[in-house]
Amino acid sequence: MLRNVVSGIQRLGISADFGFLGERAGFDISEVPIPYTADDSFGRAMLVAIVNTLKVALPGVALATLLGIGLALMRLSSNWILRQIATVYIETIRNIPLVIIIFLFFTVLFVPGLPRGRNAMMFWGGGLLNNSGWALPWLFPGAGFRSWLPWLVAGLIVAAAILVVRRIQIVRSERPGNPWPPALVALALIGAVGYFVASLNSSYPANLQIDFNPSRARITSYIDIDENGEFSSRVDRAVGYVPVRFVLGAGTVRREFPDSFVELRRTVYSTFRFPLIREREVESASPRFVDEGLAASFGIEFTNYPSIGFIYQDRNRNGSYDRGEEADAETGKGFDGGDYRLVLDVTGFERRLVTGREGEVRVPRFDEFVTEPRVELLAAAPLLLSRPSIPGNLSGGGGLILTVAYLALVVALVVYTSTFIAEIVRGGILSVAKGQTEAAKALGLSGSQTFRLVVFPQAMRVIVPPMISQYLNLTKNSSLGVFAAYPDFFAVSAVIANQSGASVPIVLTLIVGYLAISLSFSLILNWYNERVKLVDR
Amino acid sequence: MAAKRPLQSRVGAADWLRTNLFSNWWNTIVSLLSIALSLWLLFVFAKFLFIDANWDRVWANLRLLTVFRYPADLLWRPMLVIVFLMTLFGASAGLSGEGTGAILRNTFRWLMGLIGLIALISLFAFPAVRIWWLLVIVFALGGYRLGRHFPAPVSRPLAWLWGASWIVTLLILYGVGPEESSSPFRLVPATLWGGILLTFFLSITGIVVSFPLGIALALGRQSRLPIIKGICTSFIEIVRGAPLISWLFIASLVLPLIIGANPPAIWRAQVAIILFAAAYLAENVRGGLQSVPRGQTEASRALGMSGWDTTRLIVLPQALRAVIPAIVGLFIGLFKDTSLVTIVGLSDLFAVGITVTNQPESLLVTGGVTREAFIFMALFFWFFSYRMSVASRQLERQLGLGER
Repeated sequence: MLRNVVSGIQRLGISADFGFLGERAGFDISEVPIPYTADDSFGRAMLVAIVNTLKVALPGVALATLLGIGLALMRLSSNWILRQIATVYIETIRNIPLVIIIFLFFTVLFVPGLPRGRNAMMFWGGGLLNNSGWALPWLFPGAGFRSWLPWLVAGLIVAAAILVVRRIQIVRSERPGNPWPPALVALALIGAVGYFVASLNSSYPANLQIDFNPSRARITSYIDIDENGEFSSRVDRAVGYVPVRFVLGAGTVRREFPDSFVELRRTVYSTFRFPLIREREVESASPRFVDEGLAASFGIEFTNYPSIGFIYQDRNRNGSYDRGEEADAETGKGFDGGDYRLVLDVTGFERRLVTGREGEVRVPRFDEFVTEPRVELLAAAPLLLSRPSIPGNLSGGGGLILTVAYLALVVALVVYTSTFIAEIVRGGILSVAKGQTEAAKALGLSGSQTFRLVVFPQAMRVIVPPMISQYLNLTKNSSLGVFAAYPDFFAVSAVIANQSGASVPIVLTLIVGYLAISLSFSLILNWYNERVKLVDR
Repeated sequence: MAAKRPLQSRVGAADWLRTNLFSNWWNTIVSLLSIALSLWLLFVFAKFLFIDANWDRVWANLRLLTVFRYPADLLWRPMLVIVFLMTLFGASAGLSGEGTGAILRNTFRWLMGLIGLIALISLFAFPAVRIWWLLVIVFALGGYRLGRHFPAPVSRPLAWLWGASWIVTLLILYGVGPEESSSPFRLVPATLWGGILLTFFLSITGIVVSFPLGIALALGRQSRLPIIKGICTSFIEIVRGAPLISWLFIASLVLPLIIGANPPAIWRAQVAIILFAAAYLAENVRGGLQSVPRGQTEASRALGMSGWDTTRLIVLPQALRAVIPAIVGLFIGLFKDTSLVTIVGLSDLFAVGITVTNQPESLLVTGGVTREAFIFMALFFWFFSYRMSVASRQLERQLGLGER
């Protein structure tokens, strides 16, 4: 037995070869925050996975803290029903395994519950939510970002300097004061001036071209290396985050498939969608039936011009929609499932787009162009606002896309960890002696001042140490993302171990990786703890 | 002069409502909104639970969910384990005095309530095990009486039985004879264990075995020998640094390499759980050790006790007493975390629950049975964890730890 163990450990020593890290990975990862393809190495895949873990942990920690503090305040509130709600929430969630909560959000609620595909919920500002994820408008660094960066750094340095100087002044003057406002104003000013200057003198790299491919309905921004004026993915290099304008004089969109008539939110209307075009994006858009016979007896009414509408039967032949005409007089149901082929004639369509990280963005697909569409390159800017480019379609290359696995994992971690944080915060606030509050009140401090200046700083001493361990727990628990098919550090390592067979080095990498994440977290947080403790007497 | 009547505190329903719900316009709005929201949630949940839900699939798979593929003709063996453990528990509850003992009795009481409910259901629905559930009740109550009325002769053998209980349980569950025979004592390989049985087995074994290991690690971390201290500290910190799921995975990869054989998945997972629990337990125990005043050690040394005796008889009992609630908390966490063994291919409750939702018959059900399976699993974990955390809080209050 002992000899077995000894030789086993020797075997471990021999097989601890990290050469596999440079080999071709050969598998795809569903979430790639940094560029990665199956042709990259195992090491690169691991790096992607670590970024994925951090991408869950950092927002998770922030949101769990907010929700936890909210719950703690609810539990301490004078309102009976709020107290009860918070107590029931905490006592329920913290006693259920996290895996099951992830399962709840991913398998039970989000995937079957959110609208499917093109029925995505649309938010103001162009956000989309469906059961494959949430695409939201986001700012990305454009070509001018580099020239803006020095201004930002300068602003930060000046702000820090002001902060230090003001703090010393305040301490010397022995009067209350807040050093933050002047520092933040300085940062904002320098940043704004820098943004203006940077957008004036920033430019694109030489030979930057835009390619529009009508059959794929796709715009690509690239550097024309072979200088032939056409994009070929083998030779030319795609460049991401370039703002373009797509202008169409006139064109038509066909909806020729019965399945484009979807029942929208279970109404009885025969609803149709032209999911490519948003409201108020066109000068005119008029739909017509291809079938002349249908056109004689049916009409089309927009509910959301021009992307959504429904079909009605013009019973009184007045040429417009009246109440009740959306349903069949006998069955009371909509005119769904018929072979209604529609054509939408569009004029004056124009949209500003920002190409995605891989230099591509999709535009609405027009089946015929009456006039030739135009694609213009817009002026370079430090920051670009990118919106989901195709309503209802997350993979259009615009905006920031949070997959449903990511959402489920973050929500589950926040919901679960917040219950522990709430109890810590509540304990911390309760630990402040009652005399402190009474003394503060007696000195004439208001309720919020008492909490902000007297109770909270003292509670922090008690709150911070256990909070650190909750933050670490959340980070480590993000490894349960494997149950929602989220490719985090653990999940990808398991795949690599399977593919490469290099189990021992993978195991070492896992341990060292998690230790590194944990240690760097606890270093930062302990540094903060030391600062809070200084207040302690 | 007539004495003034003391001011009465106002406790009428209207006053209660005014102070607690409608003290000002802001509170009134919040209260009304919250009441509406909770009623709506309650309605949605109750409607699903009693009207929309289809419990047929969960009901049909109850044996899979509780014992997985443990042979049907051997179900008496897990039942015998329950009889055995509940008898011991009853005797201990009967023996226990006031204070912390009351909490033990309380725990025994609600456990008996649960068992009564199960016995009642099985009386009508599960003829195979109904006699056994009645036996559980009879023996548990018998044990309680025994402990209550004959504390002196019972206490010593009871301690021994508790000490042997883990081995006895393992023996009963595993069996002895060859697997192929039809003998009632035949071997049941661990691959057939699963469901709630496995969840309980993994978590209880985890905490029982990790207990001495955790104490040893905690003592080792306080050792004056730098090598022992270094080994223990780095073990504790490394194990705590990575999540349990990665240790389960590592154990399933590396353990076969180290010992040169391929142990069943359940033992690989169990080793990971034990080591993981031991590292956390060591940290809890260390907290307890630090809470014992130095004077205690000095006094016992002054009385001429050896270092080992001081630790064993003076420091450890006080330290462990102080960290009982923390250990209960650790056990709750471990109990919930056993659901992670799914990742190494074990069929614990969570894994079986997922399997049930993916059965062809379940997929035929409109809307699937994921929600039902989720509620069943969540309720199981919630019930036991919640009861344990209530007991742990009572314990904390009894020991006067939460107070200052």
